[in-house]
Amino acid sequence: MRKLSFILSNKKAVVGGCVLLFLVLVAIFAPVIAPYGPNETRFFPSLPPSREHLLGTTSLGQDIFSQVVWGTRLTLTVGLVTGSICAFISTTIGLVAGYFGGWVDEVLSLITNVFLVLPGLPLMIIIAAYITVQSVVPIIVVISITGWAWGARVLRSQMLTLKSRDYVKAAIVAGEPPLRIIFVEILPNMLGLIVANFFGAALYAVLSEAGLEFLGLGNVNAVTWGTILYWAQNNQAMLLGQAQWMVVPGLLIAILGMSFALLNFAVDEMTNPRLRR
Amino acid sequence: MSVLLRVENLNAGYVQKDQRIIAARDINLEVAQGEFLGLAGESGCGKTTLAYAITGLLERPGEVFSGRVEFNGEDLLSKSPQEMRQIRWKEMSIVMQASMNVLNPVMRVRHQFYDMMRAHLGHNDTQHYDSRVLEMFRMVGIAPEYLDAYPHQLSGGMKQRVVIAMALALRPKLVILDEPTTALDVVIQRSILQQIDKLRRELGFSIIMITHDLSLLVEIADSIAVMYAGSIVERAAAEELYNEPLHPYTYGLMNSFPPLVGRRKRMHGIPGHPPDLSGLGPGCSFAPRCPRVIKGLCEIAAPPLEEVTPNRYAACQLYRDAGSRTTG
Amino acid sequence: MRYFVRRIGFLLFTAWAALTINFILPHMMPGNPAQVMLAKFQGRLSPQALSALTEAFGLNMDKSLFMQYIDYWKRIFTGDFGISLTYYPSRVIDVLAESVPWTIGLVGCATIIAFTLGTLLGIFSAWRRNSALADALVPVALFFNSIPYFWLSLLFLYLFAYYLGWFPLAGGYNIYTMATGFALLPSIIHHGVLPLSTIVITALGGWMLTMRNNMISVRADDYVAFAHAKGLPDREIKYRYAARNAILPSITGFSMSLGFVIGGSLLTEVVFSYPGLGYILYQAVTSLDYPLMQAIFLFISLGVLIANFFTDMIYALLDPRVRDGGV
Ligand SMILES: Nc1ncnc2c1ncn2[C@@H]1O[C@H](COP(=O)(O)OP(=O)(O)OP(=O)(O)O)[C@@H](O)[C@H]1O
Ligand SMILES: [Mg+2]
Repeated sequence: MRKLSFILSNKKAVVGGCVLLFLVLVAIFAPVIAPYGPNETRFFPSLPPSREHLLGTTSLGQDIFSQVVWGTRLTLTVGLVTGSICAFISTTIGLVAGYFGGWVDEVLSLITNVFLVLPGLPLMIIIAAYITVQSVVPIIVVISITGWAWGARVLRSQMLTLKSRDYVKAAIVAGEPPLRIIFVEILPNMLGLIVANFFGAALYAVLSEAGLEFLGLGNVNAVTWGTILYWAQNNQAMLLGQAQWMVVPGLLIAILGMSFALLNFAVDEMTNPRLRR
Repeated sequence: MSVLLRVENLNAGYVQKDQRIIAARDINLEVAQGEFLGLAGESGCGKTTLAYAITGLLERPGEVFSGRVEFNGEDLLSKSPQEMRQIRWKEMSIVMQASMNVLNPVMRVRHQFYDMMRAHLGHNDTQHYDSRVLEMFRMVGIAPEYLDAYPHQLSGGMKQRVVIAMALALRPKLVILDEPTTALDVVIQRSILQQIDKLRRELGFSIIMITHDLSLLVEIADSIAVMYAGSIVERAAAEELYNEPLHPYTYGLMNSFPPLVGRRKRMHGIPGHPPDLSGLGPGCSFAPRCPRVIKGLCEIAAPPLEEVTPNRYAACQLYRDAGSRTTG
Repeated sequence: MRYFVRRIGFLLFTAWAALTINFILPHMMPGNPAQVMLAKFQGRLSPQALSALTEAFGLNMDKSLFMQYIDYWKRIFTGDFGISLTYYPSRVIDVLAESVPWTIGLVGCATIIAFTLGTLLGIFSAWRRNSALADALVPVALFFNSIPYFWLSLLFLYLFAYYLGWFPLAGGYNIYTMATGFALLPSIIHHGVLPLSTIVITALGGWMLTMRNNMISVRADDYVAFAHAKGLPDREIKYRYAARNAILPSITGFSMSLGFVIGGSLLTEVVFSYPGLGYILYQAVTSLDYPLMQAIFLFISLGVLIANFFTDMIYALLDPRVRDGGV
């Protein structure tokens, strides 16, 4: 209860959480909210916004509003799943490297640093160009490969700090098995950082996905905000006076990204006593 | 000797969620020119808070709630931050408790001296700066070549000595030392304090030295104030306090340390813990731990700091006239 | 010195890793992409070019993977990246030579501007914390940090170039002029303003937030409190004590964000048809020009790694503890 009121007292967490919750609800209830199917092409093409078509129609005669609503599903999925995968990899590698030290740390840190400095998006573009993307799975894999390193580095240094705490030393001396110490004694004290890291990775995933799909490197027939932008650009939405076709999905990406960023920032603020006021 | 610093009814502490935690309560103090005052007390009793309140360094959530600080005839609490900045270091300096970490890690020691001198001396004569700094280095026993060292190249004790040198460099009227020598071994500790003391006698500045170590103060200070849970419970000349501690807390504190001379007695600390400052009751805050507690009185009325015998002050029911006890 | 050697070692190691990834990737992919590409270009290329491609992509079954790897290194050291299929019959190396300066200029300027501005804003918003303006900067920065680069580019392109006509629609300079050298500069700047500002705007927020949090942490450090105690002027404490230390973690974060900025600028280049690496990478990707793709990734990686190395050197200049081999 006190935790909850603590979280609620942080405005950024509340706003970020509400926006995210709203978008999750939209994704879940997409069939109810969207008036038409995402790929129905039976409408008059390039209609301006109206009562029937809140955001007008595409040049192929699809209802843009319905596409945007349905697009929430895949876009959110990619963000959340990729965020989770990245958080998982970073946590595992960061904790193991920090806890065991020695050559294990040397090797893992080297790998982490290599991935940290390899340019992510260009690598993604190359990989995505080699494979023919049929679903969002390769996109998720590709973003995860390049997105975990930063978190691993942060968690490793936190691990080093926690490892020198008395209660951990006591557990080590008491001969508790390492995995138990890592996951039972230490992990709970890092949850804040891990959660912040998850939201950071989710933001990275959403932006990278949008970029890849905009370049046509995703499956352009799947409906996500990124592919809607791809089609809008390829059909010169702006030149045809269909600005909303371009503006709305991009704005939504920014809003989703911002909700992740707000949550990331808020968790950071709440767990780092120095940032608290 | 004239009074340099006079603290009157000072209340200072921290604001937490609309609640005031008073960490320095009704403080009354006087420091004469050239005097060496020792301030002793257990950890958390408010010594640092008091020092910060005097120097105007208490920052949010810390706050001075009421009272008066008179320094050199001037009221410090009514001064603007700019005016305080002028006074701080030129007139009074403070060696902070965390003196291991107070040096800027990316700046050479030399420039950290220069910064301070430039801000206060109003000229930029580095030759003059250097001679002053080297003089201070000699005094605290640091070789001149460390002038161009970075803080991480110094040992903990050297850092403390550099900070002490900084505090003395502008010849202030008052130097506050907040546990200045914790990282030094006993021998060096003593020799530095003796040097500071020698300099004090030559130049005539005053010192307030904060420490847990009452035995050290007894040896070196002129007078001693003992703090407990935010209040000063006893104040006396060092010798008198050593010969005959009045307050039961002082007594306990004396016995927590091995005696300076003579046979080592068995050490018996004070049982129990200091109280939480946010939940102080109406009575004497030492009552729960006091071996000489007067049941039915001490828990109810907090005694003020009063002159018991000439120039000896104590805040304890044991030394109050029967007549004034009830009014308390 | 030990630090320097270590960083050089890391640079070489990462360069080796990047180049090896570059070599391995096409071999690891399902469906043999190179074969597909080769089929596509059958008949369109000269037999020599075809056989060079076969060689380069390991379709020559007579050679072991290891031998191919050796050949790959030989080609790198001789600068022989083959013939571009998109810009046939230009050599890949020539295509790159033309586009690399544009990207370096764009990304370099944008990064310097964004880092400087963002850092200054971060210092301000931390030092003036709890004032309305300083606190309002945070959500604004978070928002700009979450905007997709390419989307903002599109908006700017349509608004400022198409509707308002203040800036050109595409390209890196005016191709219809006779001017050369420095005379081209005004035209280059005119073309660069929009791409540059989108990168700056989207990258600014991140730098600001990092610096703000560092600054707030550092403010609570003992040496800042001691600087106050010493009676130093506020300005001096702010810059020489607080900011000077707070900028160190920002520089550490540089390596990661550099990759991100490069990624973003690639997309920006595509939108503005800016003649840099991003634009030709897009061309290469859409026309399955593997030799060009491989070479571009190689150059981008090396660029980022070298920039990263220089960042490490700057860090050592700013932090004496690192120079002495600590931390
Ligand atoms: N920023 C703060 N916010 C709230 N309470 C504080 C803060 N700083 C100190 N206190 C409280 O004020 C009391 C006095 O602290 P202070 O630092 O003055 O003690 P001290 O006598 O100097 O102790 P020590 O010998 O350990 O240095 C302590 O009980 C502490 O819990
Ligand atoms: Mg203290």
